[in-house]
Amino acid sequence: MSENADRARADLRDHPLGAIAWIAILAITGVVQLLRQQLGDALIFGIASLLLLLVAAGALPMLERLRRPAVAVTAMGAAAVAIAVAVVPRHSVLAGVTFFVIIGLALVAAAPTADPRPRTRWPKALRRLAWAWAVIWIVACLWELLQVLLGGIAPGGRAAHPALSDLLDPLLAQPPGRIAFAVCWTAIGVFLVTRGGRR
Amino acid sequence: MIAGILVFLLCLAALLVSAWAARAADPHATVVELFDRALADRTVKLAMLVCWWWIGWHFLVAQTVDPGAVM
Repeated sequence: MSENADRARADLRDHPLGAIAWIAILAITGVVQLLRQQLGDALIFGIASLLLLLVAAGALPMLERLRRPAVAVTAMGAAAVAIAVAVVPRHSVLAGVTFFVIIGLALVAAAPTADPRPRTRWPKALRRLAWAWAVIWIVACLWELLQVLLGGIAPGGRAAHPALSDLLDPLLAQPPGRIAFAVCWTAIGVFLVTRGGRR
Repeated sequence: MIAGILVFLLCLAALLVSAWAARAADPHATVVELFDRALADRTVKLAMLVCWWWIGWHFLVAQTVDPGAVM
């Protein structure tokens, strides 16, 4: 087995909370989507949680062959992704194909560096920040779920209980909102793929 | 409807305030450092990428809002 597979198993053995929590988050989200009868989304999260279990166990050797591209290549890829996300017609087959290409590119760009960040103990203030952010995100997600449920059964429906999709959808229907979304979403993706290891 | 927007804005404010408070307590306790440490775990990194990707998929590919369902 490769060094990366060994590292993945060591991550799970020595620091299990993060990996287990995130796999659980994806699995729970899949179950919620299944209960909402959103079968496509349930499949996405269900398959992702199963694949991540395999990643954590170091059982996907094909991922070990991926090498992180140079910064310039990532930057050019990000620019192409932002333009594509801004211009492809919403809810189209082309948009679906584009997003499957994007997840493929993201997986390559997120490949581990040859020189991983050494493990050190988290400072107290950082642990507090991590817990605070976790709690706030969970509250926001539960509120979103409540709005989705109330939007389907309560008087006033989705107009009285708008989910985030209802609030953002009118903005995304206009070019400025769509461009702003494409830029912000791509920037967050670049942040996620490039952080967490030494260059 | 106002309550819905307000709760999301309160969550955003809470994220910013907690980040500011952590940095005030320890200059190294930044949001970037938090993500750097979390994303050093490959499983966590891929899980966050899945969530990020799904948000894009959800808003631009999937049919998020039935026509005429809101407003």
